[in-house]
Amino acid sequence: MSKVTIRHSINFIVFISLQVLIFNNIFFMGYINPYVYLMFLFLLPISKKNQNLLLLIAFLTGIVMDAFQNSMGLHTFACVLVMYLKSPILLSLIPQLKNKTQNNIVFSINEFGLPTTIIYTSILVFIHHFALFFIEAFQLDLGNILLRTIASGLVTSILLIILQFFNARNSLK
Amino acid sequence: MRNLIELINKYNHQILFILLEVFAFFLIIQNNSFQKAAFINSTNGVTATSFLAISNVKSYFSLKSTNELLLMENAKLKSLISYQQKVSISSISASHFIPATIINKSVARANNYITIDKGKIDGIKKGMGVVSNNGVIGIVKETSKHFSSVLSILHSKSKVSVVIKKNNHFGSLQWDGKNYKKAKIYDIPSHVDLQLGDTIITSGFSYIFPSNTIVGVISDIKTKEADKFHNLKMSFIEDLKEVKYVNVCQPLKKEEKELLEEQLSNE
Repeated sequence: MSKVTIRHSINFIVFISLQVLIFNNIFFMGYINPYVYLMFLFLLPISKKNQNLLLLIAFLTGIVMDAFQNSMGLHTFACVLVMYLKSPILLSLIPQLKNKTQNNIVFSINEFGLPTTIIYTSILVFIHHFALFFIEAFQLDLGNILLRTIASGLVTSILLIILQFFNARNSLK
Repeated sequence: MRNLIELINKYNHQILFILLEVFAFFLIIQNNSFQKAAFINSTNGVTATSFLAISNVKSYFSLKSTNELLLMENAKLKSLISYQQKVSISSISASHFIPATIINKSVARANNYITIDKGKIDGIKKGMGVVSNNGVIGIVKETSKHFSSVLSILHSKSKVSVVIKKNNHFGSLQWDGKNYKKAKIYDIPSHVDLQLGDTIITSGFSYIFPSNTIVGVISDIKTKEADKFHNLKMSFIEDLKEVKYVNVCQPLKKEEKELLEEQLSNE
């Protein structure tokens, strides 16, 4: 196994356990439930060559989350959606990346700057949360879904941006 | 044919994406409409065992409050015994209880589930009711050898038949998916006189839950003049976020009642 594979496997275990052991037990104000495991998907590179493998990894992540949450299919759907939309969103935020020939684009706060990081992170988080809450509650009113999406989405985005700061500091060393 | 292969080659990423999403959607639909827990749920070996380990660690933090609760319950039971000795009324409910511990739960989602640490080996079967000292918790949905997953009362498909204690009018209780402390009560005619704070208990019609189990109190009445039925909200007495110890009810007379009803419908 290459170094990259090992690192991402460790990430997978760390973030899934963080989510299951700690964040699934947190409900600020009754219904804010941050989904920090998304960080694992964020840390995966964007790569044209391995794009199908990346989709399958997202699928697996979703299945594991669903098993722990008893919510068959919900997280799977949201994770695959996020993974699919990751590269189009990044490319539309930073068009000059299209011209680069490099195979793997690893998103990092050092390279792309804070404003882009905030926009990129929150767009993906809100897509994920909206898909999750919308499918979960077919019958509920849209107001409630939006409230949940915005409340949980804000908390998750802030946490993920902080985590990306730490990640950037570590990779500098 | 060659065109098709070329097409698949060109759009393989998109096709894989759509396939995976359709599969995920299929899982959601299947799990919802048939209430069938697939093999991937929280009663299977790995997830349930890890929940058990977490729960064991967590239980140390709540030892003190648990002790207090037990003391209070003891006192309550003692007073009940002395009351029974005096009046010698037959027992309130004819159920037999299996004590269990909650090892995983959620309250924040639209459809919530609970996992408990007792399973088939302990005599738990699908469809049994789960109650705590202060209220109704849910109905057993799936069992494995040592664990069971419970459809929480905080689930869009949970419905419990309830009674207003002071005048015996019955209605049905259903969660509206918003606040885990509150639920709605339907089917109580608007001519019934109600007040804030009236106690709501289970009816025991279904024999899933023992009758006269306390559920909650009326916290909001929003009935208009023209309404046929009351527009009621109640708040649970049990804190569903904190509850840890529950009892699974083994209905002793359920079969007898169902047999009788079946005979009636055959005639």
